[in-house]
Amino acid sequence: MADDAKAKKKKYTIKVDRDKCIGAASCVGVAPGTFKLDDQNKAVIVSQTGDTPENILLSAQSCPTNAIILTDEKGNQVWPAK
Amino acid sequence: MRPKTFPVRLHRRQRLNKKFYLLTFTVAEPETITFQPGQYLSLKIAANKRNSYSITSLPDQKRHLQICVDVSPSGPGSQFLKTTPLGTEIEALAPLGQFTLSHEERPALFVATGSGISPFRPMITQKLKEFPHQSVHLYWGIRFSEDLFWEQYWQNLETSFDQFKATICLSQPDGAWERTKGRVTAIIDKDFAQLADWEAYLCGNGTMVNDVRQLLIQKGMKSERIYTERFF
Repeated sequence: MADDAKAKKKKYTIKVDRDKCIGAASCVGVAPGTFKLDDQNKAVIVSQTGDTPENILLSAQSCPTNAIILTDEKGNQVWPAK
Repeated sequence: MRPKTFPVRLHRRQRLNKKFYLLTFTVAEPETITFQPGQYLSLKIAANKRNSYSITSLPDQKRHLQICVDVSPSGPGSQFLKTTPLGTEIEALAPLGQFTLSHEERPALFVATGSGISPFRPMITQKLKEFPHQSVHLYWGIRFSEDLFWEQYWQNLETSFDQFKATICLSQPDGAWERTKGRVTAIIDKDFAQLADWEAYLCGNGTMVNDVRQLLIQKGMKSERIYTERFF
């Protein structure tokens, strides 16, 4: 497997809670291959594997309202930490 | 600049009043930080916890970053920033956010409540330097006179730039307050009949942002010229 593809292998399933999203756009800055803001200034997912798992986790952790939810392959919630 | 993580050290903690602290961090060499006025940083305050803070220092200070924090919520972030010893190394992630200046030559309103004033110190300073002949009006809503800080800073800007005006609005003034009383929405409504050629930057609680945004559109401001950052 090429290095790029390996680096972006899917580790998390990503969801965005639109009710919590305030359009702060930290996710877009940290993981621009994964998130963008839509015309209502809410984060939407562009690709579930648009960035490395490390950057996706960092983008979730940087969200000021914890609007990004990550679950692992077994369905366990990784972020926000429970 | 793409955001990155880097270590910062807590250099100084200055109490501005009962509610607000100004914290200065140094950025260790060889790192430098480049950001646009209005952007923010995320600090790792615990193993599984990051908090976001608007950068309130000016971008030309490449090795220092400042944030202004309202500690009255007394949450984990407030406790951490009040008690962490000077010299402590903390992981920062910056620069973040898209609440930045338009760089259009247009008169501008800046409207803040409480700690929403934080990003406006670099934003207004930059706006005045970039377009020294355009009107810039700041409206800052706070509850009590004891919450006030940076008064001298805004007065100095008013002295240096004829077209800058700062209006501080107290929603719960004590008897000694002789200046503007009431909420920023009502004050702006009274001060301006129309705002068709203006742009606006709104930062603070969600209710204020929504109410002022609606008011500005009613006064003719184009919605795409209204930039917002909601604190919560």
